[in-house]
Amino acid sequence: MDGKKRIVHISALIALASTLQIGESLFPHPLPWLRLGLANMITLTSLVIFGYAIAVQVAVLRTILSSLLLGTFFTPGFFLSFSGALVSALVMGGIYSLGKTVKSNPSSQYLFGFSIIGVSILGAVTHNLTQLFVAYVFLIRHKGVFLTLPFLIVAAVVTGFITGYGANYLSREIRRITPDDSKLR
Amino acid sequence: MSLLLRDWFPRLSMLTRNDRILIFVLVAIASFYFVRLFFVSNEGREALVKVGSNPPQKVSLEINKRINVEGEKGRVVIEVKEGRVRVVESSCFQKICVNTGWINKPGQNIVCLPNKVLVTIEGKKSPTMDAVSY
Amino acid sequence: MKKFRALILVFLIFLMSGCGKREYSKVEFLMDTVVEIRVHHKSKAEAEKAINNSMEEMKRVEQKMSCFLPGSEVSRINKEAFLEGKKTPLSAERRLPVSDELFSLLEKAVLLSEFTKGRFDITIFPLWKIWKFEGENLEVPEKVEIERALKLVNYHKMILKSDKISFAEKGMGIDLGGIAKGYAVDAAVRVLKKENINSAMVNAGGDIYVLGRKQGKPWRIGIRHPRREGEILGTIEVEDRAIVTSGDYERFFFSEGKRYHHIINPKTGYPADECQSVTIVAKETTFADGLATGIFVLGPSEGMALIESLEGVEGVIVSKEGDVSTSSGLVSKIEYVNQK
Repeated sequence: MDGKKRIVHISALIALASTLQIGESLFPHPLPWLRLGLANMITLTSLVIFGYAIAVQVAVLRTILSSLLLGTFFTPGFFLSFSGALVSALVMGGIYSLGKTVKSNPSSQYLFGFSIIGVSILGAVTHNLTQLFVAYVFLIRHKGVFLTLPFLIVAAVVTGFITGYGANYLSREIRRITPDDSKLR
Repeated sequence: MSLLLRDWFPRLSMLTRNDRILIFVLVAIASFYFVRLFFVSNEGREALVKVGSNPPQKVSLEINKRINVEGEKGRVVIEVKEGRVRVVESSCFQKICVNTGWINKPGQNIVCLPNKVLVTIEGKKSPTMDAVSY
Repeated sequence: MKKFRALILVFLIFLMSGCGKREYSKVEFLMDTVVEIRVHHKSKAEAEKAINNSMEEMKRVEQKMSCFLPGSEVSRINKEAFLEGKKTPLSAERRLPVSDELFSLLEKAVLLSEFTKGRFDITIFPLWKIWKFEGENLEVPEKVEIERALKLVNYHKMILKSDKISFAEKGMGIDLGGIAKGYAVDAAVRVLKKENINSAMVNAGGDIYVLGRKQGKPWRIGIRHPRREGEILGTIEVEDRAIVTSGDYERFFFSEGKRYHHIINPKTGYPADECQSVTIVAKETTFADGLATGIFVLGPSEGMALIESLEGVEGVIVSKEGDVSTSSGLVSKIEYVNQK
């Protein structure tokens, strides 16, 4: 895939991710910092198709873009979602890449012993935990916030599942649409 | 767009052994914390301060601080330190509240009747007793 | 996968347990003490409504029965009784109409006086006035003052006839302190029952009524140790009962090394010292309250005899030496912490 196509693809992904994030924020939430993290689906897809570095950039950029559009740039909520997206992208990327170096089969879905669902769940858990941690340290310094741990973990498992499916489907479709390329893994 | 069901819903058997271990561990951790929530929720870590007919205020016992409240007869100073709470100063005459000293267990309380100030520890009283007649 | 499903199931079961009656409570400063009403009920709205209504009822009782609040019915009676000079004070010639509610309470008080041979006496008002436990100058009144007041304390000299009250002597008055809290608790319980609450506890400064059971089990009420601060004498398992304790440790002051507490003996004019504490378990808090006060003055032996003679009444008496005696019907229901 040449440079221009790549930029278009990546931009599309960032746009998609932002749409997901913005759309998600329209839903009422019992816990303000508990996001469904559907946009992580895109991060994961970028990870599979374009690799670690791009995935992290997609994650960071979609956070910034969505918050600019929503007018929440630099608000506490922004820092929460930014840190959550960043750390979970780093973690997912880490697991994925590590898996890649261990397993030699490039088309294998089995990375470091985890399938894409597993990576996604891990990413979702990391995302939520990071957000909780940031909320505690920088926003609400009350140990009571940790009471939400069980709910956050369960929510992460569930949403991780969903985004994992989504990422799986999405990456398959993109591979199918775009002709085989050395850039694609 | 693929219409094959196989592409829309990859079979759950796609989950690797590691995946299942991961999920199991996470749910186990969540359940642990969940159970903990029901049995160890804020017991003995929070005090309730009631002044007159105002709604009771929660005061964390984990943050050391001094609180001034306005009782019916004047000022009452409440101090929180190292997980305990006491009335340090009071504008009442007999100072029974001040003499009560530190409390930190659910069921214990400090009362200043002239000032209408009550300090209690949040949480169930001992599981063996519902109230004390005195 | 099966393991996974099983775990989810366990988790869901955890979520669903505990759905049923929840505890709701409210605390207020009332009748110069701390009043707590605790209710176990399914519906939060109903529970809170019941609690608020019963609190309001207790406030209403206080407004009516307090001898401190100037607008109360009792204060009005006392004012009329004490008036000297211009108007004719409340006496045999001049009788004051009393509301039905107060009248039946007064009749109950007379009954209690009969039972306790005058050790419980609501005409103790003149005596209570001179002891000034609430004020800032806490000192023992002069002997002459006490003797003078004693002459005015005698429930036989209070005449209750055809819904009217009068006193045989000028300067008499009534003080419902020994029975008012109990009555307020009963009033609150009546409201709770009317609001379809069947599991609750009303605690007015240690005067307690427990309604029904708590989550299927009887309520466990402790008796405060009269001498050891923060410790319990024992625990009683009760349901649908009043538990009232009179103790010499509640309100007191020291003067010249001697302790003076607030339960005055209507016969001597001085604080009663036969007992350290008396706990009565009965079906009605009003009755339990008056009995506890009266038996405290009456003393351990006569007091226990009285308890045993009354149907539906049980109790614990701690003598002034610290000896604990338990009524026969209570022995099986009370659990003492290490003896004495």
